[in-house]
Amino acid sequence: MNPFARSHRLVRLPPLRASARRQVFFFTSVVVLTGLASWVLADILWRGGISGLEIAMLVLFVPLFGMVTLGFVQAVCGFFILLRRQDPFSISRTIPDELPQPETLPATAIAIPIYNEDVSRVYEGLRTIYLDLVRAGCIERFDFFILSDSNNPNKWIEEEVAWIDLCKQVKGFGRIFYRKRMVNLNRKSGNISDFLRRWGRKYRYMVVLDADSLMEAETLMRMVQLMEVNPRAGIIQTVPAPIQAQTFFARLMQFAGTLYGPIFQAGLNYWQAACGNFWGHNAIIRCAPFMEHCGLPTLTQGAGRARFMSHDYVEAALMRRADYEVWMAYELGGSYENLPPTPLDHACRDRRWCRGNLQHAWMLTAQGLHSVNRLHLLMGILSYAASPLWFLFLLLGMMQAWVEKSFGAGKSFDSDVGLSSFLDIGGGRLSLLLFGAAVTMLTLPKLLAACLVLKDKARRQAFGGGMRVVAGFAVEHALSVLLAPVQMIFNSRFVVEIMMGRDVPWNPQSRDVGGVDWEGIVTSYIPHTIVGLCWALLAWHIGPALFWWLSPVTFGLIISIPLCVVLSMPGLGLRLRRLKLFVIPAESNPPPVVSHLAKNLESIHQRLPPPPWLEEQFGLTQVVLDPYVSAAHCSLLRTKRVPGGAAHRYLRELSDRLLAQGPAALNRREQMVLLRNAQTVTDLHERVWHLPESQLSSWWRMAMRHYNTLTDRPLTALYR
Amino acid sequence: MHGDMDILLDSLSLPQPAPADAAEWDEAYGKVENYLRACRVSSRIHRARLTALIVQRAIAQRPLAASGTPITTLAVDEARRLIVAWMGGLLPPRSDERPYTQAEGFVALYLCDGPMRWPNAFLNPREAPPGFLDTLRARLVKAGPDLAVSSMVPRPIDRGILPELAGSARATFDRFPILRTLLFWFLFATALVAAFWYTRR
Repeated sequence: MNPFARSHRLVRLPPLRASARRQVFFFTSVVVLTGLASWVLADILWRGGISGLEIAMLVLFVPLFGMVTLGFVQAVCGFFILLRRQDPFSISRTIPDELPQPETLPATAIAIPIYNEDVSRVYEGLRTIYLDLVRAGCIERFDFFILSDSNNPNKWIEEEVAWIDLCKQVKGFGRIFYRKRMVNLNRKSGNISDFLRRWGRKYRYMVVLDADSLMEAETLMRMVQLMEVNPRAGIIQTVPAPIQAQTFFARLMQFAGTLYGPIFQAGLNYWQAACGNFWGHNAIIRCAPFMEHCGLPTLTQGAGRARFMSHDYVEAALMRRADYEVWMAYELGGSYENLPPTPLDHACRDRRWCRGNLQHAWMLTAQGLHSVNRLHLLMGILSYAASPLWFLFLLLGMMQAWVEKSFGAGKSFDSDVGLSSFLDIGGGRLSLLLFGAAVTMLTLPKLLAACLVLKDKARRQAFGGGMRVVAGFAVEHALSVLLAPVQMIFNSRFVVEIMMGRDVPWNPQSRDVGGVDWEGIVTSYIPHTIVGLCWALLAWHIGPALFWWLSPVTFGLIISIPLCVVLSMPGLGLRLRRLKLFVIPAESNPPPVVSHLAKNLESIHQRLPPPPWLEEQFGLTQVVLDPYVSAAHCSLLRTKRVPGGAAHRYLRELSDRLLAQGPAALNRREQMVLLRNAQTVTDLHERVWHLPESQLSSWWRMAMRHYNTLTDRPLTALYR
Repeated sequence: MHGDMDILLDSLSLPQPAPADAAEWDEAYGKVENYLRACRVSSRIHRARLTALIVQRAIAQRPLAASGTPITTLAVDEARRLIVAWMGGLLPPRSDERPYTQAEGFVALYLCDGPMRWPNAFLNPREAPPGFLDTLRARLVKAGPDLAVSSMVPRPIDRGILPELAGSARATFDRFPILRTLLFWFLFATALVAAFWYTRR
């Protein structure tokens, strides 16, 4: 359970109309605070008339400050809920503390859609969950489905072999299933729909996991129990806690997410109640209404039909439209995920999410959606669109300063007019007051979250002690100030590129820690550095005061390359962990599933990997050389017939090229074509063993020698 | 089925290949041994005996093979033929009387760790311990449960008038990229004029 939750008596959720009162209070607070701040800015700008530039600044300021206010009010609401430890709208409180009897739970599917992911992480996560369910005595109630959309032939083979190995090791045949889609229609949402069309009718509920998800058996049981107790619940989303961060950046994000996350989550639940959101994973879904109401159409009609990239928000909105509730079980705990290891990986993920969220603009006026769902969609859009708006706001401010300097139209901040006259503080002080309010709204939520931890001895110690919480808070806050403008430039670029119609490829998320990618960092961050330098020089030219006002923004941009390098260092992250800085409860008192997973992954990483030339083609090599891998792959293929005519000649030509020149002679699509035909795979296996060495390419000769001599016995693609 | 295999290890004796073919036979011997190793026959002694037996049978078949067939091909082919025939004798027919495929046999063998747990049983029809047979026959792989087909069709969403207008505008711009470029130039020129006006007023 969440550390803030405590033993409670069983409650019934209040009627949903009661949540409307919360929403009125919440949004009234946001509107009042935003209105007051906008008034103050208008008062500051409107001295002796207001220019076009100033009007533009004011127009931009209202939604941007509104976003800041919304976050602030949400955090304050969450703070008081966690302080009182009473939330009548917490769905977790509708079930008793005791775990349900396994035999009372209906059959539930655990679906894991994967796409070219790190195979060992996916399967070790699955192994950990499976064994935890065995320990809890409820494995009979859960079936696992690995749903692969991988289009990398090596990953495909590794996944198959890993599935067989895992089932063999945990005796999971008939309980863990593997499906590979041949056509990746509609990406992840299409993969889930495909699963539901085939097997959805067998299960009342489906838990969707991501490739890096991890869940405790008790959490899974409670999720099913929550669905049973609340028959109108269509989706219950858990809040995955970040784990296993190694780089400085990931540890920073993990610390921030764990320290500040709870008050924002409680605040979010405060105003969204039964109109929650679906984040695409670590959630339980009622299959029948999902199948009936959440099939996604194409986003746009006509020739260039676009598909939803961020399907989850839309599915939640459609579920709510069908009068099913969508809840966030923020007190449940036992749900985990990994974070992108470096700022660059984080930016890559943001680029994908940015496109998905901007697509939601098409849904804002869709008929029948609940207004809170529309707000979720709008907030998703603004979370990315805000970056170019902030950038524009800052540029307009600079232009205004330049105009005032060039044309001598500077404002007299001490002129005693308007609000400053009424308050008797002068225009300059009024500006400082507004600035102070903005800084407070950005800082206070984090401070409140830190205070909540500091006042609880057990939690404080789990974070490494009071001093370390304070130090972590200070460093995280300082670094987030430096990183914010970097992210602003990235997101602005993404928004512009997407608006200009540039395609966003569907790349798997990086979840693994490698070395520092110097080339990638320099090429990605050099524009930030140039923008930062030009901006600072221009600001200095306009006036030293402006330069210093803008220095937090420009400094972060100028040092973005060294900053990103330092933050990407796994060694530094581990040293900080040894110092117990940025330590989180899941590290100081790791739950068994987390430590089991860490231990298993550690043993895999200690194994000697194949040489790089072989590693990048490892799956293909194994399916051609290893009789068992070849047989396993063929027995899993649905197409076993021998093609005739042109198709046969084409496959033969590809096979010849593969054997004569090595895997590099075939592109990924050609390799996939070969691997999709069982007869071709069997022929390849026989030919590579039949042919004398002199008739094989040098690549295959090397691969065979490696395969025949490297280990005591040939290894299958995975491990153990 | 086992009668034609004649794999009595006691009768093992390797004939001397012709000196001109010695190198090729050496390579064939190595390949067969590696193939057996790939089949997880981990006992070196058993592997050596099986390799010798297979090579011996390949040598005997050489005169019958098509001319130009490489010796390694003959030897590895013989190895696979023996393995497939041996596995065919171990696996029972399915309930629908269809025989198991060669691939399914290999997978079952891998899953029961046959060559490692019963090393002497590999390719030896006279020594198939009951435990081995039972385990092998129990290892049948099923990638998915029986289908329970249902329908999940995309439901149309009425997105309102604004997205429809925007969609048609976007489609027009997609169809006429020149129009899109002209619009971009127009917006740029408008921004320049506005800036000029603003700084000169």
